Amino acid sequence: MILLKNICFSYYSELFKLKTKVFENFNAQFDKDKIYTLTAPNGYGKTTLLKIIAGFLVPQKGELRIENSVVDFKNFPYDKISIFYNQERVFYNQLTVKENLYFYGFSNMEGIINGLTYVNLKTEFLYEKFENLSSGNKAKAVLIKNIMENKPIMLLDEPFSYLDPESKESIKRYLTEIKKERCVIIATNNEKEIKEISDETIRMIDVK
Amino acid sequence: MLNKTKIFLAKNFLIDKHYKFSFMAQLFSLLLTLLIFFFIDSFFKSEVQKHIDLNINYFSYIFVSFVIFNYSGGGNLIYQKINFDITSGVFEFIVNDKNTVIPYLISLWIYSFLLSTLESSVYFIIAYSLGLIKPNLNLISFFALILISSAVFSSVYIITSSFAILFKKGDIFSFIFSVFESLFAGVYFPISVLGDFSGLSEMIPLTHSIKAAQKIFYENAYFWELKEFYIILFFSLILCPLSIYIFKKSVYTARKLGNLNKY
Repeated sequence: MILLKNICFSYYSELFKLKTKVFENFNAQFDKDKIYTLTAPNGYGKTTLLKIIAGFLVPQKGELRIENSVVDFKNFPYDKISIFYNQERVFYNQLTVKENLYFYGFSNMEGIINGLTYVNLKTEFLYEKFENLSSGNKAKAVLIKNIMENKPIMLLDEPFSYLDPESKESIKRYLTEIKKERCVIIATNNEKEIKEISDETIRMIDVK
Repeated sequence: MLNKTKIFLAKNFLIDKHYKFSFMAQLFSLLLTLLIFFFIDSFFKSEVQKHIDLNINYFSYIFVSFVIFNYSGGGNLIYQKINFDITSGVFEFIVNDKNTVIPYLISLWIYSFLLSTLESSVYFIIAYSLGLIKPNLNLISFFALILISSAVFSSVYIITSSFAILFKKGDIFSFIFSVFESLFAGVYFPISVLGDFSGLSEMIPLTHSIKAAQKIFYENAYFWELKEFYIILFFSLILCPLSIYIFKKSVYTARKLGNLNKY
């Protein structure tokens, strides 16, 4: 479903000013119907890898294939991929959760309530301003967006970091339910936490 | 596309609702600036008058220049909004989808146009009710002019924002452009005052908008009679598509350099 071939990527702080080299000829493959755990020490490029697959970053060299088609990064198939990362920088602080969801194109109350159930929250939560939420609830709000996107590839970067045990279980149940015909990649430093739902673990330290 | 534009517009409105005081303060400071020009007019009356082609006083001249300059400031608002989205982190989500870039930019243009129109209407009501200006206005022509002009100004600031996305030092570009424009476009004084430098003014869209606006506002001119209108139209035909192209290109380059979300 996802194939990365000889991917090279470096970060530049400004135009032509090299900051950090992350990948050099990196290869990986992810298939559908599976939940992958992606682990690596800090700074190894987990988030970068997810952002490349999501089209947020364009590799300087190499090839990305999604569903057997070579991806053109100028015309990226965003309809296929949903990404969760850094819950603080996805929604506007000044807007309520409902307004933020509307901003991302979700106004169907039935779908929103369904999302709320998965993240273990009540309807009142929708009318809270994003800036007033705790980190855990911010993560839940962003996860509602990811759930509603309902895309074949779901990329989650440390989704459980701030969640309470009950919500973690609920999200895990959701991921197990939806994994058929989909590919879910979870980047985490806590491999044990998702062991029971993970089909395969990729340790970047071994692949890179 | 229409729906996405509507969503982006609503988002800008909802966010700015949190900064009502800033809007009021801006309005107040601009009104004070106009008051300064009212007293300058009283002080230099005959000296300044001889540089103005139309049969109006300095305050009347600067009033219209300021209204048009306000639309250029609206273009600057686009830069600020883009910068706000970058610092919020949401920018990455907005511009990565090729289908949202154009509605995003259009919504910024419409939003800045609406805000500038609201501000200009307040100035007009105050200046007119105090008897400070005596317009002979062709409203439809004025509307057509500000619509096209604001599209041109917005395009210029989309281009400066594109530089900001790449070089992360956006203030410099928009600041230089804004100062250059206010110096050479005849905002504070007619360009005849500039002498040999007035040739530079012809290259700035704002110069032509101000000239056309004065004629429409005080001489009831129709936009199709004014050569300045066609110059603005020409600028818009070049700058609007160019700004979208440059914006997309800079976003793509920033994605490749991995610094789209940096500020």
